[in-house]
Amino acid sequence: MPISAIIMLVVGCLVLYGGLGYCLSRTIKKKNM
Amino acid sequence: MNEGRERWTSRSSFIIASIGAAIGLGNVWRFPYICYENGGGAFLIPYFIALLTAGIPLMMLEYGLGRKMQAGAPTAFAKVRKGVEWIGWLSLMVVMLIFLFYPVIMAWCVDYITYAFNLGWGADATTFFERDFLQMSGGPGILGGIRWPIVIGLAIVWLAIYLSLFKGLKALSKIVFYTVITPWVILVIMVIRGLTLPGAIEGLKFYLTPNFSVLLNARVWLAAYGQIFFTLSLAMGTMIVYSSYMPKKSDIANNAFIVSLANCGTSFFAGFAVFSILGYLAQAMGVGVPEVTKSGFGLAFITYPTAIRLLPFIPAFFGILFFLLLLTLGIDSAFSQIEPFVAGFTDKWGFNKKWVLPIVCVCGFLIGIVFTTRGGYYWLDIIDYFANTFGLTLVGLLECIVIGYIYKAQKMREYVNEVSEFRIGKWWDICIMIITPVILGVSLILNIVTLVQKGYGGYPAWATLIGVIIAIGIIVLSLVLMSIKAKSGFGDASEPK
Repeated sequence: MPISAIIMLVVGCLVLYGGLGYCLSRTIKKKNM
Repeated sequence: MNEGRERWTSRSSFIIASIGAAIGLGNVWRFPYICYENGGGAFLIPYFIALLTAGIPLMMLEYGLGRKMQAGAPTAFAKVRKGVEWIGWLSLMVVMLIFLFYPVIMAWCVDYITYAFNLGWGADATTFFERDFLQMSGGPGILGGIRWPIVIGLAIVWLAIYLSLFKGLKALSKIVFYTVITPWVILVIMVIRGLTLPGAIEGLKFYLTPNFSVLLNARVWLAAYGQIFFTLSLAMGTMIVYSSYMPKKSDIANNAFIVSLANCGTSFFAGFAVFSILGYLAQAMGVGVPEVTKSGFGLAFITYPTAIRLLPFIPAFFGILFFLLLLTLGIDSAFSQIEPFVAGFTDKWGFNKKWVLPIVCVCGFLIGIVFTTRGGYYWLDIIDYFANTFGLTLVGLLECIVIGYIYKAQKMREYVNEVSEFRIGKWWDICIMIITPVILGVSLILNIVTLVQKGYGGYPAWATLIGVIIAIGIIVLSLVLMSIKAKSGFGDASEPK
């Protein structure tokens, strides 16, 4: 797999799953689920 | 808050129901293909920008409108200004067109689950789908009789929709938990299976290898904005009515981020299930990956079943799993199409939901039979095109104009900030007043020009004309529904807190 594809894979995961994890953690910290 | 209104049992129920509404068949059969077709991994750049500048802001707008007005789309718009109530009705008329054919696609999945037990599509999935299963007629002018296996599937799907909705939000809160988690579990299994097949990496290369030169192409940016707009189930009235059922402590901004990111994360993940299998299929057939890459029905009912049949280990199991995946992805989207439609009538005229829901389900089933005929496929394709390409885009554009300029974006933003876990800045006003309406407007104009110049899908002009008449007809119907006298207190200008 080309290195550029791996970079895009990492970027995609970071933005989508990192962003989702961050938003969920804010909510969970405030105990507002 | 309207104390008498039905509520989700918790904030997590609301989030899961919204995620279920947003995630649908398109996440599996559209996003991976659009990504591949528009620069592979490079497409993620315009996709993320579209998500931040159009998808999430519009989601916040719909959540804000529903929560503030405590009503479904028509009543919510009527509370903004009496004369714009028809926009709410238009969104429900468009969603009605969609829920007339959407369960038919799910009925195909029900039938394909039964075929998967013995891989009934055989070696030639194209012939099976078009000639044996749909028994497609020569064109939209020949309906050519009903396909009873599809009607039976359709009856099962409508019954499932009715049983899931008739007990109200408490029951739905529990059901959506299973209909959202199940496809995720299946996707994980499909990705693991796909990645362990020979040729999978070759498939993923086509999915992820970026071609940055396409970023200078306006068509790619429009594709990214279009994909974001359609994937989040916006402009259907769904998010407005779902947020009107929010529990008291629910916020708006963070919920919009969570739902949007979960939806797009699912699309991205589904790409691995799709392209790993396509890579395997290409290797097994001795052809290049582009030759087997398709989207939509072609991917779901032809390419994927072909690949499943070639799997070395328990292919029937993966066939059942795949169509179960599509079915569970679709069912909660179907709930989300029916609920705002029913709420539109119960909110305005105070009808009893226990009566409206079965009437809608029975009428939906009966009208849906048109799409189960031998010529039904063509009409499904035509109605899908008009509802999505013109209907939803127009509603989205009008929503931005009404909230951005009539209600005032700043006023809505201040309300959203009052009830949210974090504050949104003036960037939101710019997104709602300028970026999103400009993109939707340009897209709408380009699509109208293309339709006038080339028609659609090679169908005869009269078939396209019927699509245009239906599109104009639902606008007129929206105006008529607005003009019918409501129960007292409807559209009361005193906005609930």
